[in-house]
Amino acid sequence: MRRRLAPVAGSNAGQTIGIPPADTAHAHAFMNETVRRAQDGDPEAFRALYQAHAGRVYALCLRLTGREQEAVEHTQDVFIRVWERLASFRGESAFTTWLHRLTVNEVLQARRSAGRRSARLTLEDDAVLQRHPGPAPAAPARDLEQAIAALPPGARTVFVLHDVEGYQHEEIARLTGIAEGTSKAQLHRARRLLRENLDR
Amino acid sequence: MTPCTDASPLLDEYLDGTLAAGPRAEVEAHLAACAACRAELEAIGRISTAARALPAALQPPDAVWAGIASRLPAAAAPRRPTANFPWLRLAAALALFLGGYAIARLGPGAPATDAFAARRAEYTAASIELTRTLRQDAGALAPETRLVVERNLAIIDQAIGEAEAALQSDPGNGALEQMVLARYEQRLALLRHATLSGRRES
Repeated sequence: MRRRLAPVAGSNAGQTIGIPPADTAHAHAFMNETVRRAQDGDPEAFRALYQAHAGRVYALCLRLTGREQEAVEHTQDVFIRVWERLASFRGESAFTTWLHRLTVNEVLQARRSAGRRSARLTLEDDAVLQRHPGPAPAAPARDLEQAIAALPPGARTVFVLHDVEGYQHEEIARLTGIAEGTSKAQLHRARRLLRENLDR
Repeated sequence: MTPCTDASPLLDEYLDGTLAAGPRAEVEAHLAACAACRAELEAIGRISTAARALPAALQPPDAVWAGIASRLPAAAAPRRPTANFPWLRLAAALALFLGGYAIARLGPGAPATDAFAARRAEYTAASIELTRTLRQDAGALAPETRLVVERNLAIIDQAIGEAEAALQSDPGNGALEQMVLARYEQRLALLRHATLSGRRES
């Protein structure tokens, strides 16, 4: 089952944040109202949207890229896109679904860009979660996060979308532009590489 | 028996429960006889389970919002303000608010919920307009004043969200409708006060 975006609050970067369920009537009504106000150009409402969803967007960006600096840039780009395109959000899907799709597209589009690829070359020594600020997660989760970050980009993308985010291969193929069979092969590869890495 | 080289690629779909009946039976027969593939299945199952249990959200560095905020003025807003003069927009917002208030008070016997919806829409429209005015004149407010305004707006917005949620659970409840309107009015009063303070300080 696809994960839901959870509202977030906290003070330390990288900290895992536990938040009340996003699907309560209260949270739902408040979020609908906040989206509506942000669509009307209310910057405070937009900031509230950021505070509610930044943690989820950042986590997805961080896992898809494996690099903190890139995740920061992508998270910023995503919310700028949200601000620019919010008026076109008509509510046919949940805002969280729309935002999740926009985030995945932003990261994948940037990966396709030659500019981003060359920029990444300068970030090779950047943190891959181990230098990530905030309280350290439990060792098994930290090891897994680091192992995911070390995967080749194609395998990492499919693994994150399938095993972490709950997408099916058909959706991954549609999102990434690869064949469904390629998605399955990348997942197979990712799981074996992770096993090899974690068993060391 | 199916060789491991053929069975291994199918273990992922077997684990995910997406393998068709025929291949699934072949994999199960292979697993029954192959300890190595059983261990492989168990290992990738552990990884997949651990991945699903990873935290859905991670707190981004504070610099993320700072970067967004610095780029927002250059980004296209969802809807641009129609007027260029803050005072004209302020006047329009007040007129809208006062007009709506008069309609709600003096209107010819509209049902309470209709009057409520109209009042709420007018409060919201006036609030948005004042927010835009305030945003444009933000530099006129002292930083400490701006901070106080932002904090109070956040508190009022939370109260609005709670009152709206309660009303959604009990539509038509007159007391809740009054509570919602009171919160919106509170918001509008704060925005008006902040806007006028900005004018005085500049």
